[in-house]
Amino acid sequence: MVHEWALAEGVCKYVASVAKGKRLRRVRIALGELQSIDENVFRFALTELLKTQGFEVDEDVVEFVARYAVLQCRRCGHSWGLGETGLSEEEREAVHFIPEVIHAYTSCPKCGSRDFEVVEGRSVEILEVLWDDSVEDAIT
Amino acid sequence: MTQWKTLSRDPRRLVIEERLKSVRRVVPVMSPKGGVGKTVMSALTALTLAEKGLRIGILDLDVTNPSIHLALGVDSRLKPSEERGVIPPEVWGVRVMSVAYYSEGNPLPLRGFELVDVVREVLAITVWGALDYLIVDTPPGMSDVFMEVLNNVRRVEPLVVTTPSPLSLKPVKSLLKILREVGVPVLGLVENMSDRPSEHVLSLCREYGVRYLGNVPNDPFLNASVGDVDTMRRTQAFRRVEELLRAQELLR
Ligand SMILES: Nc1ncnc2c1ncn2[C@@H]1O[C@H](COP(=O)(O)OP(=O)(O)O)[C@@H](O)[C@H]1O
Ligand SMILES: [Mg+2]
Ligand SMILES: [Zn+2]
Repeated sequence: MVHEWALAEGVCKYVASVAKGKRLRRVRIALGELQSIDENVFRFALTELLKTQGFEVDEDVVEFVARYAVLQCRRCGHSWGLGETGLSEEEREAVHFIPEVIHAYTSCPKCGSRDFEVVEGRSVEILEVLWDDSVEDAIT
Repeated sequence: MTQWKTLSRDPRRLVIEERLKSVRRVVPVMSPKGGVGKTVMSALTALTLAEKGLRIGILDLDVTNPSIHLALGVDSRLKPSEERGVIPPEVWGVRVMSVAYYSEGNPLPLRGFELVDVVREVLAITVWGALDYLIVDTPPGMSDVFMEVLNNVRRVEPLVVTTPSPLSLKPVKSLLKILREVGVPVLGLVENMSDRPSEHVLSLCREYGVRYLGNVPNDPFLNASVGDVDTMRRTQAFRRVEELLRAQELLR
């Protein structure tokens, strides 16, 4: 699952765009269950990429928050998790590239609709970038 | 409700440019009307350009109804490989990227903002490498995907397809108007399923200063050949597209 690198590149570009030349304290990132990101690969990729942008990256700078997937039906309101979908290994693999293809493999367990929303846990999201003593960009 | 991510904070948008850095020209094939031949034109154009030795990619952004893989007869066992992103497999000399690799022929109904996510995701993870042309097959309508292409991809040069029918031409006029408003240069217009150039198509081109590439006749053998590239190459439609591209010096 080397596409972690592609996603890390976006995060790195964002960090560089807000904190270039600064000393990084923390980069906090939410990892959505649907993208099944390998934390170690992602951390390694992001750290390496940040170094190429001139950042010093201490051990504890990159922090992950796991976000479980919450699916909610737009037709009947029922809400459920990834565990209940019974997706196969290959289907999970497909979903990890393009999370929206989950609509190709599962539907609401209550009413059968594919018109459900991924309320939480879709993808990689930047929550916070902190540098020096300044706090910037706290979103959650 | 899903929140719209502010543009600068969506990390994917920042890598899209990087991914397209070595792509010389991006040509979305557009027409607001369905069934006028966008997919066929995308496929024939890509095949023709690749045959001439150019480095070609094709991206199917008709996400809920992907069909480029069908038109090109892409083996359903083929999948992109992974190397710091996703590398599309090459078919007939064309690097083909489609959500169909991941939806596997299942129905994929999506809301507009979900389409936005798909478009950004695909553009952000696909590693094209060096290309002369990236042909983008687009869905009908002037909605989410259309706007994502215009907003996220720099330097697009749409190829506009129409039939002579007023039902196609009217929406195409709106399209040309919008493209002009945002300063997007049109590569040219193809009049498809038409035995001869129509006066009202020509006059629309004059009005908008758009290059009229030519007409492609209605070819009764085309449908039967779809998915079988060798047979498709022998159709009149294919030869005609080749002719138009050569005449317009797009083959470089
Ligand atoms: N020049 C042509 N001659 C005959 N059939 C054509 C021609 N161009 C397109 N078609 C057929 O018309 C239908 C619609 O074409 P398609 O490319 O799918 O349109 P779009 O992508 O604009 O919706 C398809 O069945 C296609 O094979
Ligand atoms: Mg089409
Ligand atoms: Zn339901």
